[in-house]
Amino acid sequence: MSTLLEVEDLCVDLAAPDGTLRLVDGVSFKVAAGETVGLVGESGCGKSMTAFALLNLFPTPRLKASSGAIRFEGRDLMSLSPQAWRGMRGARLAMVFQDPSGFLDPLMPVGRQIAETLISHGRKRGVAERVHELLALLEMPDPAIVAGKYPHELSGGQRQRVLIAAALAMEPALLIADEPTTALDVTVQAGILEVLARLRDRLGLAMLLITHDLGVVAESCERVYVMYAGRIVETASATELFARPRHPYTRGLLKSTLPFEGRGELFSIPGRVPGPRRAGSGGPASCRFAPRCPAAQPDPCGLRDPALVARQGANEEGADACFRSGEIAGADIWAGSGR
Amino acid sequence: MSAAPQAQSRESRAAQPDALLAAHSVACHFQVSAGSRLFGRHRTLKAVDTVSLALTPGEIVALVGESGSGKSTLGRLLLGLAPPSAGRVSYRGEDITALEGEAWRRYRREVQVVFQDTGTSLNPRRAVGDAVALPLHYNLGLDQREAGPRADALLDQVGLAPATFRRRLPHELSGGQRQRIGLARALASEPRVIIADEPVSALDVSVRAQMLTLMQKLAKEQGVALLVITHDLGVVRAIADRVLVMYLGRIVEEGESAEVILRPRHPYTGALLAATPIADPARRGTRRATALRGDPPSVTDLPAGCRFRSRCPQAEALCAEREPLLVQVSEGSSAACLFPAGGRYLKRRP
Repeated sequence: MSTLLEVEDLCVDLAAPDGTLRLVDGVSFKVAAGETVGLVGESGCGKSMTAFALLNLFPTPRLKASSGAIRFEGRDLMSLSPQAWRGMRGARLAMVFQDPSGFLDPLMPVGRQIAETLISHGRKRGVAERVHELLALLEMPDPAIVAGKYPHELSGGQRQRVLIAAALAMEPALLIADEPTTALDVTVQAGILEVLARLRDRLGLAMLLITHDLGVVAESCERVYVMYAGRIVETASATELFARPRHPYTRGLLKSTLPFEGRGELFSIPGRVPGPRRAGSGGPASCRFAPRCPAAQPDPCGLRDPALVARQGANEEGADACFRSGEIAGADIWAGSGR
Repeated sequence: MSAAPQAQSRESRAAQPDALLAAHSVACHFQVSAGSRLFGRHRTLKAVDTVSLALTPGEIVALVGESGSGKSTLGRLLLGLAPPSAGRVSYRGEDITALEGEAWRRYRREVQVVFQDTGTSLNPRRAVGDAVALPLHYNLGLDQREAGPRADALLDQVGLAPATFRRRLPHELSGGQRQRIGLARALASEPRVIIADEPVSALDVSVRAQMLTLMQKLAKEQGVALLVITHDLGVVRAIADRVLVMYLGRIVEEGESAEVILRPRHPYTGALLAATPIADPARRGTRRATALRGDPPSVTDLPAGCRFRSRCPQAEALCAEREPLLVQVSEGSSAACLFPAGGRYLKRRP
């Protein structure tokens, strides 16, 4: 599969009153055409910031992608002009957010809101037909009737489908979905995940799925990146990651999912995600996960920040950023902690 | 097969002598008008329709269902925040509408709530440390000097470092942190019953387990009765002793949570379970395709017979004629279905 999106060494900085904070610190990842990739981690790990950087759509001007490269369909997104961005955003790259009601105009029928995407990208004819076609694609009953409804007349799941329809209006190559089903009922979530999977097969749509729900990742992603404190700490195919997680953080996250059968022991990783580091404060002096890690040792974990290193042997795709992941692979590192 | 023994069994469960808080066949109806306020047809929305339940000390009961099933309204009835249209709610055996003076204050103190949306249930101008200290002052009569350290201890108990968080305002906290402030605030009144509406749905996996463990401890060590309203069956599996499954205002299945999850009897429970994602890619595609299509029908316009039949994959002609009642189908569970899975109520015809 050809690489659609390639992010290299991306940094996102926040200009705070007392200096610059680095929220995303040297993140690299790839999404191939037609592939569904998961980006997981706790809140505050920099997942959403990474998504904002991909669209150059930060909620405040104090945030900016300060270094790195984002290549999408062979173009360098970091050097696009504002005009070129307008042609790109919503057309080749589209995004869906967590809260469907916050992104819909309450005073405009939803059909017109979907049409806006089409019109703003220069489409003049057949707009209404295309809107109905999109609603039908999202498996909404009676597209013509739904198109005339206002957001408050729709359920949460229907609103999320409308937003996905708007995002797909111009047939983008990549859909970035930030917690698309977190606010929805499980039954509705299952329906939307099924529709997204069918769209991927039908339209060859690639997807970057940002979520903290490992269940959703296991259901729908082919590859996964695990993010912690602004960095990617592990990546592997979904099958490999869930079967043989290597980084202590990934292992902790998996252990803290609620077991499907029986009543397992409730587990949580002790401590919290650290606050962002200051930009340019010299080389980080330790592994970011060390304060919460049961396997951390003063040397080397306390001395250097580990880089993402490809797994030896196993599968060529997997990589983790842990000095001791090889040593501790067989041990139950989280046993007896974190209750 | 008549309604009588069934009603009796339900009544007896609600009337358990050791029940702290109980609902006896409560209903909550709202008048809604379709179209014009003056000329439109008035309809009755039955948000909660004849529901009985009892909470005993040290027990964690989960109430599950989709949005719009009446879970939160039932919670409001139990809290005395909405008057029931029929039936009654009792606390320590007394009807809550008859409580007065000290008895009423005791009910309000001992039955606490953790709301789903803490963004709007906390005063935006009050530091969260003070928000936690207020019930200590009003409900327990502590003065400021005593309340301070107690509030700090409560913050600590919910996993928020007092020194960092005491002076913060609600908007400076994340959703998960505010949720924990909500719990700390409920705990301040030393409650006997806590009704928690979606207490962990906004939390990260790592914090979620912490909150659930805390709730488990409250139940097992301090004998607090907990009603956890949730749509997450993972939470039910993890902590609940008993589970009630609600659909459009009615309880459709009830039982020991292990039993209900292992052997769901009502097709709705089965569909909820099938829709819950499993964190194991090896099992992708092994679960049943979601049986539920579309949204639930409007509560103002319920179908005749079984209210689940319009979405039920197994509905038969009889389901349109007869409304199923909640009857015991196995040792540990009851279901309101004419054809419960593995049930002995009515044999499924070939």
